[in-house]
Amino acid sequence: MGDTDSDLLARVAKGDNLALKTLYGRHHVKVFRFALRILKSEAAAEDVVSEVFLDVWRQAASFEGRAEASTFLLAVARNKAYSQLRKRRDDQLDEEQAGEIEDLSDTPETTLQKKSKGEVLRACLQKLSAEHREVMDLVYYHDKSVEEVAAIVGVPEGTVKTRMFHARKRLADLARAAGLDRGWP
Amino acid sequence: MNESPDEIEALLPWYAAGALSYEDRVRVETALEARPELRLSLATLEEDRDETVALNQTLGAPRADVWARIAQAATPRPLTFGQRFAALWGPRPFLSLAAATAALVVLLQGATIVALLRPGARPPAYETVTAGRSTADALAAFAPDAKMADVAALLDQAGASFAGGPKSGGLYELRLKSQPATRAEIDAALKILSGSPLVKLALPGAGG
Repeated sequence: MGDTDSDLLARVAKGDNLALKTLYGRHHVKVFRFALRILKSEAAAEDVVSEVFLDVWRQAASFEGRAEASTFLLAVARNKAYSQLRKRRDDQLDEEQAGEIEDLSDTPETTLQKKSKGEVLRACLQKLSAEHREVMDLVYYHDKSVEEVAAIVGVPEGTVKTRMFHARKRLADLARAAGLDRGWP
Repeated sequence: MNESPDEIEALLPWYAAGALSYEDRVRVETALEARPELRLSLATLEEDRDETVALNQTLGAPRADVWARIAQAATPRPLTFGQRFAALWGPRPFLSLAAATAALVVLLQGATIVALLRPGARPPAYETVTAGRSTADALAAFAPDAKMADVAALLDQAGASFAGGPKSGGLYELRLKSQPATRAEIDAALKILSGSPLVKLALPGAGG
């Protein structure tokens, strides 16, 4: 049986870089994708990945016995990604936000003709606000519980549940606007 | 409209993920049987989940040189004095040291017996009680988190080097580089050692 993440962290705390490599092998892809969804830049997401794992190397002892490794790795990645976002100039942020505005040039019917149901939904997922996208990614892709999402995002558990509901509702609205009415809500 | 979800509706995403407690799962399943709109909500949610996973899976992975960057920066941390000592003597340094000392005593006893039994050997001369005692100029115990490199630099500054140990209480025997060391030289070295946070205790040795 392989080492658990906790075993690996304990070894990293003792300066074992092979354990760090194993931990990296297990989690780097998901950390990268989570950061990429926030930053929308592969280079910036890669910087976050390297910073996260260097933090683990330097402070492994302080991470021991805390949350599940994947949860605190995502929490650290989120902090670093938002810190990078804050450093970006306002005009860059404006440009990115403009990119998130729904493209209404096609009518719903032509959108559906051009795309499959899955493609429409994926396009709508891209149009969600950062807050809604984040909670959906954490629950659906990263398999995080209510408590874990609350820990990563830094909001109360009740807020996580409400935010998830509104994210689903917003996605349904976007899908309906794109011609895909699934009857909910 | 900013409506709030009912409690069961709010739990559906985690029900679909199998991340609910047994009690909550039973509550959701009971509600699903009674409320068709919840079943529709669940079906919609499962589509959302599948596409969220599909979308994330298209995002690729960091390039291989990201790990190279991390590996380059994650150089082994310098070992503390205690870790270096443990590495030298194994995981139970004091047992190893005791075994080595015992072996040395047996060897010395054997050599003494052979020398005494040798024809023409003279009986041992009278010796003072201090003969055979440590000839260390000083004894010092170091802070547990003291790093080997820092201790070595401190000893160099004090003009001393390790002569043995550790003895009980974690005391190491030190010898001054200038031999024979004068009392003033030993006092000067002790002053330097005592003034360092790396040193818990510094005393004159039997040779001092």
